[in-house]
Amino acid sequence: MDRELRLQSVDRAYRDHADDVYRVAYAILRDPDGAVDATHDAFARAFERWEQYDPDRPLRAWLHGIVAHVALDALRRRRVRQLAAPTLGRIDVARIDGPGAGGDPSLEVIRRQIVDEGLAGLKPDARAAIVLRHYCGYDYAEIAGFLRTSPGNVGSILSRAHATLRERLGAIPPADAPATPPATAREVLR
Amino acid sequence: MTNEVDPIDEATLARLVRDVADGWHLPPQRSSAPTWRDRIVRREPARTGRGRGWLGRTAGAGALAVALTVGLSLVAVWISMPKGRPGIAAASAPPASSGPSAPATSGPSATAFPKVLLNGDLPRPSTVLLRVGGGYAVADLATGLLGPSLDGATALSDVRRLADGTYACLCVTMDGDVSGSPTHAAVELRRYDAKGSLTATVGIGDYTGSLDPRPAAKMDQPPNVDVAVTYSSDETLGYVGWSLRDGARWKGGILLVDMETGVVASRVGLPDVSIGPDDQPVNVMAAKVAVGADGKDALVSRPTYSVEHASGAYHSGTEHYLMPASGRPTTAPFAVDRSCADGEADAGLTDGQLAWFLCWSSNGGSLTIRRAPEDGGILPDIQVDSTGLGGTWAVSGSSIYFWTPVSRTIDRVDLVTGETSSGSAPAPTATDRSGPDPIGALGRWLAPSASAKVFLEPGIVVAPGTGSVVYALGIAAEDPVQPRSTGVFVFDRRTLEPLGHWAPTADFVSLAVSGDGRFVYAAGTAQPGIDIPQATRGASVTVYDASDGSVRAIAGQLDPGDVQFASRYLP
Repeated sequence: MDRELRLQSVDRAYRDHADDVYRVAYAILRDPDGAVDATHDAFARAFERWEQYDPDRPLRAWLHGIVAHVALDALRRRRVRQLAAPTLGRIDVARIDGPGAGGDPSLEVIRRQIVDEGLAGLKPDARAAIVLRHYCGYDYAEIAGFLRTSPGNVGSILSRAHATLRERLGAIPPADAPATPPATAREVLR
Repeated sequence: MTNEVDPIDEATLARLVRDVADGWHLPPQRSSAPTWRDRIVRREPARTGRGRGWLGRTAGAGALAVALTVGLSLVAVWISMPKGRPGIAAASAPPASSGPSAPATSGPSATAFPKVLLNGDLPRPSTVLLRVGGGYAVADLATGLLGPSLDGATALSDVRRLADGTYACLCVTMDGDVSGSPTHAAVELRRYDAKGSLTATVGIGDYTGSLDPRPAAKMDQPPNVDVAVTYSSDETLGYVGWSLRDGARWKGGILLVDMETGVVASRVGLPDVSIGPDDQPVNVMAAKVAVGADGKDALVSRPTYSVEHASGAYHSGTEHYLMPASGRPTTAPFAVDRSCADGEADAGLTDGQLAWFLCWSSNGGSLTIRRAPEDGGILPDIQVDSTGLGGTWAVSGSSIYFWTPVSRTIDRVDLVTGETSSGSAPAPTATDRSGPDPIGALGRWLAPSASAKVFLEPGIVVAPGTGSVVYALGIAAEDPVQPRSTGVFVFDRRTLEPLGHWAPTADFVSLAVSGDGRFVYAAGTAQPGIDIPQATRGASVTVYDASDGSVRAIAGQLDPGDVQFASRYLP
């Protein structure tokens, strides 16, 4: 393909999918600057490998595969103890009227905050699996391909991650229950 | 306060995750930050500068200047180099080939890293199977080219190079997705020629699992089918472990595949497993096979996990079985109560029928070796403390070698006696990089100051056969943000005394040794060239002569992404 056409194609892909690609990068890296870097590197690689893209398959999935590898590699470049350091995620308070948010809105905010912090505390491959599964909607085989593991292991990783998040969320009542946030949740927010 | 509420189901968790991730948006582009367009321009210095920012143009000019300097310096060193060089001796390795000769393909080029550099005869093997992105490809050291991805060899597959230089893949595809969870798996043996072109496809196995309809099982939508591929130590036999849910039972087994003929030589059934009580569904993964050191017997490891519906608590374990490596269809439960509590990182058999399991700790910080002798006795566990930053290990005979790449510490555990011993290499010095080896001089001029992977895959290799050395990749982490490769460290296998250090030519992330032990291959990751434009380069493979550590070949522009060796030994 002509270079100029390729540039235009990747430009279009960037306009359409940059936010989604960034989310996968951020889920893995939990670092906005690093995620931006990984996003642009992913599109640069997409440009270089454009001939390998099969137009019969979703472009989004192809880009997610690239950015997952880029972000996991970037992650591996850091010291392990940096990875273990918890990162407080930002929370979009304005979105508390989202789908499924019933009852006390403050509880829903707390639940999201707990999930965000819970995600930060997971291992990177578990974070990636959670976001690839629940945000991007990939099946286990696709996630296994992205993470270079088996679908069975993806199932195990997801179940363990769910258990961790459930444990954290279990400290507070469901969003539609009128209750005061328990001490454990307030402690998490402090 | 106690909460009498139903556990949070997967749909609720998914919604919360989506809500959280919806808050993650790509920030506005900073004017000083390079965009994807800037990056591709830097990777293609000969192209037009259209679309480049000021940073890109400046970096590009710098890169060109440095590249020219390096190229000219390299030529000068090349011309003046003394032929041959004393160095460490790998006791088991045959003598090096005759002295360096003119590059067969091309000499040093005015690029940041050469497409091909050869120092003497072409190393054998001269083609190398690499994992690239989500598949596999063959790199040709003679041309410096990376071939196309092997057809059908997806990330779920496992490819091996056969003794005749061709390739065989136990290729796995999965579909029949229900709520994200596969219900169908197909396994094929695919054969490729030496250049990586597909020559034959043989169906090996086809598996369909059923959904678990119980409410508790829907909490996590676990996979309904699973497949795992492993190989015998000489890679002539492939083991396809499979598992599928069939009503109230998990069924599973192992196929033994002759990799030369594609014939399923044996089918081994594993005991059925109950899907568990309604409030705690059990999931069973495909079994993996580790052939013992004597090549006669094999240890089968089959992981299981479950989630308690009421509490959401996660439980995991691994069943073990012993079977003949040739796969006669008999199995006996073995060492079930000596498996790891928090997860199994590795497992195997010594030649004395001692099963061993390398167990993760729940906090991920340490490893424990658990041993189970054939007579059912109990041996004390062995704690391994040397698996800090990027710790990696290799098994040889009845020993496990643990390598800590930052501290350059190597530990050996004798699995039979439990005896441990240690060694360490001194920190590399500047003189390590200034030898007369002309290609090695690249390490001085283009020392990879960009980041190295923390996790090395593989990061340690024991010389094949009766070889008496161990090779390992080092990392310097004095820069907390960007650790870098410190090259290859060589140890005496018996005494663990350091024998030598070979300077890196790239940001090494993967290590392998030729089947005859004569050559050591190190794969370098691509460097984006964002932080250090002059170091812009693709992924690479560097070949060292095992007899003296001299660089025998470099293929330096393989792919924009990462590469790693598909196996530790290259036949």
